[in-house]
Order: sequence, then C-alpha cells, then structure tokens
Amino acid sequence: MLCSETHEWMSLQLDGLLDQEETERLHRHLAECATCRREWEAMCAVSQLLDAAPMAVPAPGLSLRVSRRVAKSAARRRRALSVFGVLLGSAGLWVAAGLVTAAVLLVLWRAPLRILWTSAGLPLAREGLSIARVLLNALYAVASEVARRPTALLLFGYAVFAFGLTLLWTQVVFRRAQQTTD
Amino acid sequence: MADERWCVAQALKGDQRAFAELVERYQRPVYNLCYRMLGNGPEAEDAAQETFVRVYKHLANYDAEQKLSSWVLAIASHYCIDRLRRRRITWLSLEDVLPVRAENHDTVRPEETAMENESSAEVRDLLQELPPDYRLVITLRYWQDLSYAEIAEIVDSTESAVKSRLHRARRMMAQHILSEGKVDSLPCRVPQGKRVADNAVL
Repeated sequence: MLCSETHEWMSLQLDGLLDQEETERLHRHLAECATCRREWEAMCAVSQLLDAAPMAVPAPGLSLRVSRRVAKSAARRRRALSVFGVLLGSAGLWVAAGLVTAAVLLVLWRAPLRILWTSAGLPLAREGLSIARVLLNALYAVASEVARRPTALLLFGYAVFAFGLTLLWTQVVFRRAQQTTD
Repeated sequence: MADERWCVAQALKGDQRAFAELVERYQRPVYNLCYRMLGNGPEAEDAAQETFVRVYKHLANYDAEQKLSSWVLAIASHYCIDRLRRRRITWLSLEDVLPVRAENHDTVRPEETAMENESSAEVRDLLQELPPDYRLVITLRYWQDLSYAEIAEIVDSTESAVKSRLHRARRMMAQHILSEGKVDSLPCRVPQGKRVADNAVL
C-alpha cells in the first residue's frame, strides 16, 4: 500500500467509511510506516478535538433582531421604490411639459425663432467650435513638443506617476477614515 | 417535516410568527456555521442575521423537494465564503499599506470569553489555518454531522470532491499540529470508525 493512498483512507476511516478488510490493510501499513503512523495520530487528535468542541450558541433574542432587520430592509426598499417613483413621475412630467412647450413654440413662434437662431444661436455655436479647435491645437502642440524631447517625456511620466500615487494614497486615507467612522 | 412546511407556507403569506419559528429552529446551526467560518462572535452574529434576512427574501424560491436545513445552510455558507473573500480584499489593500487600529474582529462578548477555554481557542486557530472551502466542509462534517452527500448538496459540489476536501483539510490540520509539536499534548484514542449518519438531523 502506498503512503499517498493511505492519507485518503485515514480520512475515510475517521468517518467510518472503510470496510473490515480496508481497515486491516490500513492498520497493517500504519504498523510498518512510522511517518504515516505519526500523521494518523495527529489526524486522530485533530478529529477528537473537533468532535469535542460544542456548538457555538448565539446570544438570546436572535429571531427578534432578525425580524427587526427584515423590517428595516423592507422599509428601506419601500422608501427607495417611492423615491424612484417620485423621480420617475417628475421626470415624466418635465419631459411632457418640455415637449408641449417646444410644440407650442414651434407652431406659434416659427418666424421669431428662426431669427433668434440665425442671429444668436449659429454665431454662438461657431464661436464655441473655434474655441474648441484652438484648445485642441494647443494641446496637440504641447503633446508633440513633449514627445520630441526625452527629458520632457521623462518629466511628464514622472508627473503622471506622482499624480497616480497621490490619487492612490488619497483613496487609502479616505477609506481608512471611513473605516474608523463605521 | 410537516410543521416545517407549514411554517414556510405561513411565512410566505407574511406571518411573522411563523418566520420567527423558522429562525428559532435554525439559529443554532446557522450561528455555529458562521462562528466557525468567521472565527469571532460579532461577525458571526451579523452573518447569521444576514443569512436569515436572505432566507426571508428568497423564501418564495425555496424548492420544497430540497431539505430546508440544507437550503438554509447553503445560504449561510455562500454568505460566509463571500464575506471571507471580501475580508481578504480589504486586508490586502489596506492593512498592507497602513498600520491599522486593533481589529474589531478580536472583540468578543463577555459570555464568549467565559466560554473560550484553551481547547476552543485551539479549534478556532486550527480552522483559521484552512482555506474557506475546506473550513466549510469540516464545519458541516463535525458540527452538523452530515453525510458526504448532504455536504455536497450544500456546497454545490460532488461527493468525491467533498471526500477529497475533507481529507486534505484533515491533513493540513494534522500537519499544523505536528509542526507546532502539539500532537502529544492532545488526547489520542484511535476511533472505532463511527459511521457518518446518512440522515443526520439538525
């Protein structure tokens, strides 16, 4: 009998799942092999320790505390549902009101609206676009300049690294502070 | 059990007393499972409460073909394993970086300190040596006295997987006490092979 085979049999023996013949084979091996015997003794000791350990008992009144918790979570769900309902309802009302207003404006104010759009809306959109273009160009110029010089690239990498570390640190401190207040 | 089914049916109709009766019936096995898995009273209390809240919420999904005890213990087991996993994540991200104040896991109820003698501390330390899924099968085997088939049903696995987990867990614990040199201080009688009950009741 191999030692590796014995290990599983030891566990089965502890649960009384070996038959007579297997038990005898196991014990024959244990009589011959000191290493397995030592392990078997340790397994028996562990098993007896666990067998003797009593059930852990909760403090009295667990069912009361459970029903309080059930009630609390039901109330929380009801509250969340009602808040959601109010939000949904008000959002629906706002959308409906917006649609009605837009329709009315379109029907009644088509001409004034067109004037307003061409005199104020279009120039404003054009202005916004050109500002965005300038900003993007500047960003591109800075990035290409940084990419061209190795020192700048290094400095930039370092800055990103330092920023990342600071972010991580802030998160850790924040979570720790939260844990202490729990 | 007939009255157990009645309790479930009544609880489903919203009868709080029937649900309280179910809690009374399963509080000991559930609390013990949580205590053995998590290793301390306050967390076990919280986990036991959460288990019953989940039982209440999912009672409508309970399949009457299954044993109620197995279903309840499966909920408790999943919750404890999840909780241990989460505990490991916070441990990795926080306590490695900063010296953290004394863990509240170590705070125990006064009645627990009275109960806590040398051998129960030993049991707790031994169990903490095991990975969560091994600890779970050991707990179900020793305190719930369940058969391999029942354990397999609860942990959602096969009998042969349960068998090998039990054997590995026992070996790990044996090697632990051997390495600590404790084996001689423990009583050792070779058991006469008490057969695991096929239909152990809680």
